Amino acid sequence: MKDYRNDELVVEYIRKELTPERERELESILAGRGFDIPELHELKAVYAGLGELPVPEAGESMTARFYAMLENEKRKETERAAGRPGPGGRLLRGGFDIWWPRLAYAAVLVVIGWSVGYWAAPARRYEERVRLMSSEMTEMKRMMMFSMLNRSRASERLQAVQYFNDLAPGDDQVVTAMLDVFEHDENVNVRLAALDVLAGVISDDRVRAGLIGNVTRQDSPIIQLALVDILVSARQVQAVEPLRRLLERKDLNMVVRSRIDRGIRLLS
Amino acid sequence: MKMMKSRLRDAAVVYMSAAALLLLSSIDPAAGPLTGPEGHADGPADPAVHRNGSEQLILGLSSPDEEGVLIVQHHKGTVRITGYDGEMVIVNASPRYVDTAVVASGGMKPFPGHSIKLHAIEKHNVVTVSTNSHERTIDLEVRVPFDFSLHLEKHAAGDVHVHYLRGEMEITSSAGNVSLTGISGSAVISTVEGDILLRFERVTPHAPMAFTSVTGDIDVAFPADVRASVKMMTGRGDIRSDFDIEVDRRQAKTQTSESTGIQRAFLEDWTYGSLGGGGPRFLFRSYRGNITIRKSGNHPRGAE
Repeated sequence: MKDYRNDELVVEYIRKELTPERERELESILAGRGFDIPELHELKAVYAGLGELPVPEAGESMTARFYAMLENEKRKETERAAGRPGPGGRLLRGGFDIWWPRLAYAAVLVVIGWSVGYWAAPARRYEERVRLMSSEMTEMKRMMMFSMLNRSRASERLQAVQYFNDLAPGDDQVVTAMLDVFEHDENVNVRLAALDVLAGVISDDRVRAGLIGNVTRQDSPIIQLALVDILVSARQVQAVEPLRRLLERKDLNMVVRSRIDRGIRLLS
Repeated sequence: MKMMKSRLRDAAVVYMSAAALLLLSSIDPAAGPLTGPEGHADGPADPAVHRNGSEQLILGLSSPDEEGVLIVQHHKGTVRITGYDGEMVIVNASPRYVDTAVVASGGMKPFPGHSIKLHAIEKHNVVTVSTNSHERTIDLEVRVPFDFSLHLEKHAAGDVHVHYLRGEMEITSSAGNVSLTGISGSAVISTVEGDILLRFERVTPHAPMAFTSVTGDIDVAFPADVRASVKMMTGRGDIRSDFDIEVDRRQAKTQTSESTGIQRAFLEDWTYGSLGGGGPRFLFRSYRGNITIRKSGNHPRGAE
């Protein structure tokens, strides 16, 4: 893998934020990879100078030369139509005379472009690749975590729930999955962890309805306690009715009973 | 040539005596009847096995070299699960109140094998054990090879004791204490009224754990070099530790401020911290009990 410090240098280089000493650092790294530094400096100077090349004014003589050239071309055209030298021969002989300075100029540009591209592109490609890879990794990890919610080991399911809590508790798919875990997972601690994730997004209507609907459905005292705490803290007045119904149960845990009593008093 | 022949003969003798020994050891009468992957003991099977109406089943594993999983559903009575240096799973179930049953029925003894029902099945190294402990109190004792994970649901009164297992311990108990000693691996444990006592010798890296109870104390010992991010809460008890837990107040605050204007008082009580620089999340939560997180080998209660 790349050195992290080098990545920072490249980012600064792309943003043109390199200080002189950082630039020297970059140069020393490039020199270490076999780049000739004086040559790079020349190339840079040429590249910077390109924009400042003087463009000659279109004067009287230039216009005259242009028309003369045009006449010349016209004459050649009629000559060609008369079947004199072939088009290939004409291009090689006459065309080259006119085009060679432009070709040379284009060649210089190609060389400069290639050099600069060679110098800068790997960094850019690397950056893009990292971004692409990290988004692919995130998606892969997400998929993996969704599948992990169905594993037989409670610690694996806990890990998946924890992952969603850290990453995107408000995501629609995550909310659906967490509600499912909270209602159906066989392990109390996994259900509790899912409840903790849901508590963080209780402003979501679906979550609120899911939590209130579960008041009378959850049998574990630990879940009942946590659920009461969450609903009371979030001032969910609609929870009072199902909480009263829960109190009617004869087998209700005593700690849960006193907690609900206190909760109902706080809510009403 | 002659030498070689005699060597071959010697080797054959050694091999055959080893085979005979193996054969003998496998029909050791003390080990009880050998059953296949599935065993029923709810009928009058071998009378020699019934001692005061108790039942025994012995099961082999499909792949003895690989890790096994023991799944137990139990209601009334204690459950004791112990790892041992062997390849079989040995299940013993005995009724708790034999004498009272005899007295109550005016000297009439229950017919052997009809008093309790023990059922065990093995499939792909997963052993499932169940009894009629919802009808009567049954003490269950299971011996398994060391490399075994446990999945135990305890629905009524009775303690759980687990010793010397390597794997994941998953226990849910509604009443009674849960104690585990000499454990390597990870644990997800929940009780309602019972205490949780756990002594780890080694922990599986990166495995999250959770210990929750309504009124019970939670007392867990980890190796001194354990790495974890702990999240703890107790309603009325204390939190104690001989680890240098770096308490993270910042995390607790962020959680509260995220709450979009809704007051979330229940989160105020959470304490976040890290052991050994942080790692997988270990959650400890008891509403009425104490929480103790200690270094292995540092437990005055003499649990090991």
